[in-house]
Amino acid sequence: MDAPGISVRPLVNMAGEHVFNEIIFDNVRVPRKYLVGEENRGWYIGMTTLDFERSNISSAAQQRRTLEQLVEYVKEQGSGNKKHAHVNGAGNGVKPKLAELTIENEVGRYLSYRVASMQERGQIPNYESSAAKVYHSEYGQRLAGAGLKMMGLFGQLREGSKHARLRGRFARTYLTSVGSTIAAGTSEIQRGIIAQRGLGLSRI
Amino acid sequence: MDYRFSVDEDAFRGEVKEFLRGAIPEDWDYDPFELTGETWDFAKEFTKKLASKGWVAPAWPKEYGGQGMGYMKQVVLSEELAYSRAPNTALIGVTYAGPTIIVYGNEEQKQQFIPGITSGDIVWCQGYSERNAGSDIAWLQRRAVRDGDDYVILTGASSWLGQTRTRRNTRGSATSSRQWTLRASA
Repeated sequence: MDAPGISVRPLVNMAGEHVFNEIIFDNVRVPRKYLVGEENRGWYIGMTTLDFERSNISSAAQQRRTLEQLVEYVKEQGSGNKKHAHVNGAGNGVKPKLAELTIENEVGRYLSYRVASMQERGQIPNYESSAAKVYHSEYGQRLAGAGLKMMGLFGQLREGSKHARLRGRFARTYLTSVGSTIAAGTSEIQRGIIAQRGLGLSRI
Repeated sequence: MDYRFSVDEDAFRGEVKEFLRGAIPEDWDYDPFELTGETWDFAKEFTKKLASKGWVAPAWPKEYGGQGMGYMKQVVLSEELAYSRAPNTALIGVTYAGPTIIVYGNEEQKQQFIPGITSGDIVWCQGYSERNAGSDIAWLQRRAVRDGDDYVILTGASSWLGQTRTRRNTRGSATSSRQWTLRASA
């Protein structure tokens, strides 16, 4: 990164966070010994790397924690604790929604376990990890959206506001989760992989 | 068919939970991308603690600094770390860069890059796409051209790089004609 010719420009996301950068290359020299694999095979190596990324065993566990935080929030609002003073539509669709989100979280966990069990047997997953990836990304958006709605106006406040709840987690993840169906291959690309590699359908 | 975890794996889960109770404050609730300043420093310290347990990449072979532990135990560990929102700065190295180098890299590259991943000392970044390719990386245009003992990444292209607050001390890189990875030593 300190090689001559590399410059860095911040990319700030829609939640106001600086996570990514754009890297500009100006005739950057990289010693030949750092070539991984054979020359002109980078595409295939890159594809393997992405398959590892898409297995994403952590997503379901992170989402379970978030779901549990939401369930706790809903429980506490009925207990008279002023800290959690509001649930939008309480008793009116909230419970079935939380039940549905719980079922979906379990489904996501098992999709990840499938990828993990393939990796354990030394197989390289491809369409199976795409299935897990697209599911986790879209579930994350559903979870963030559902939480934001249930928390009413409180749900929209970010950390820093004295009225923010759960450190503004749902307001933030509602924004950050938007990019998750674009990052690491859009949901459309994942479904294309599942259709071609998994179902044997033609490319067009 | 038995979908349950083994007794051994369940016992390991208990051990991980106990470690996490001691290593992470009870009210810790930060996501990886939120870490800056003090929380990033805490994350680096935490990752070294994780490394001292041999838990940065426990399933990797011993020769690569792992413990040769069963893959499902690594799954258990990943789940518990994720559930507790443990700030693991070795994640990109272990998940993306390391396996790729172990599968495709030569012996010299493995010796050079793998130990820094399992010790928690080297933070890896991932750069994949370009401005006009977005999420469809089949559109990547950047080329690296051989020139003597070097490859030259040609001017005019740009890429996106994640986990970049470590960029101050990022050094070295592994490259091929179409994919490259950067590592940082923050």
